[in-house]
Amino acid sequence: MGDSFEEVRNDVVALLPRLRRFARTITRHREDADDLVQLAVERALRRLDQWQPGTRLDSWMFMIMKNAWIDEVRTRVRRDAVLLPEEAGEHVGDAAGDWPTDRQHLRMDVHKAMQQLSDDQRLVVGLVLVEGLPYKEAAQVLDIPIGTLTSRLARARETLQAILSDTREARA
Amino acid sequence: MTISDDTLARYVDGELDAAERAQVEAAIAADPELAGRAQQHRALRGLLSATYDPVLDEPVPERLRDAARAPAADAKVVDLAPRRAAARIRAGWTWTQWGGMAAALLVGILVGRGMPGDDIAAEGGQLVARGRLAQALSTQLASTQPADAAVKIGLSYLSRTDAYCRSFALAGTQTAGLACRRGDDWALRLLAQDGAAPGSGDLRQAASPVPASVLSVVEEDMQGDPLDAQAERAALQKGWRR
Repeated sequence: MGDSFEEVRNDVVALLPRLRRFARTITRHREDADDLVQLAVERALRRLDQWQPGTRLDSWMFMIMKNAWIDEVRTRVRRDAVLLPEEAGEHVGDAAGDWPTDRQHLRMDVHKAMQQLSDDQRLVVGLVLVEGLPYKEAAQVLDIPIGTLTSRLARARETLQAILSDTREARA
Repeated sequence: MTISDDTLARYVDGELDAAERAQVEAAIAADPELAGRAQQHRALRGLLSATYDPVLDEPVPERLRDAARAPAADAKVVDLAPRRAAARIRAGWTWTQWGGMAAALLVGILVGRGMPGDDIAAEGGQLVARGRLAQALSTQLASTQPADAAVKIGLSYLSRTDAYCRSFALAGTQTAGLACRRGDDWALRLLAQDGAAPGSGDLRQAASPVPASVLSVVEEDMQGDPLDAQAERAALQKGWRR
């Protein structure tokens, strides 16, 4: 491995906070989010020679995370199938972490609302609305046409807005 | 003019060019209902930022930094195949001599790390399973093994070179690996020592006893899918021969 690989490696380290944020948007539990980041970093380092200089490293990492997440989802479905519903629900709050109480409710509501989306929709929301990727870039990461991306995004927005306005009314 | 939902979303997401943007802004200025919808879109983006942006300010767990900084030839993962390939081209040594030394050294290192010496042996420059490891690889089914087995079998699959391979984990040593059938032996293809603290709610540990370092080799080495319980049993009954 040459020096250029070392530079990319440093760039990956610098990206870790954003990789963690993206992981948090698509996973339910925060431990799963960091596991996903770790898995993706390990995979990326094994394939550094596949990254094309001049392209966006963040997009490449997001793509590896997306693939790792899809692999993980398959195993997750099996695991969740044996969890009691109460148990599963109990952990939703953990994902919110140690936020100050006044803002915590809001963030938990948003994170819970995100769980109502499909995995595909959460990926789009994470890339476009949280990570701020242009549509074209996000569509490439997900390997889908732009039209598919925008329709998933539209449905996700509708769902989130409906859930969150209901929640706010219930709290008010 | 009417502004579609799609255009409004693209406006809020910064996807419009200057001319389109000016049109939408003019329409918003003239239409409070449209202005309200644009505000809703912005509010949603704001909520998502307020929820997830604080992650950026959290300290990054050390294990993630370590994963990104791990040297290319990670000492914790010994991929035996490339090691042998590299050894073969060294001038002055036949690969068998060199491989034999490397294998003997490895056995020493592994025993030093708490792996029982009678579970592996160096033979002809190749590490092979012996003792309870060989026993488990030949006779244990992932679907029926006890939870507290000393050797836990993970995935079984057919490699690209058409040999049966099985991943395993050794209880209490944090050592996992991959062995492939070669004649009557199980040749060790990979050994990995996982430094991660056990029981930290690790998703992969919960889902399967196969660590990521082993999985990524399996991914590249496997033809098709892992064996299911039935195929695993059938392969066992044939003595893991093709």
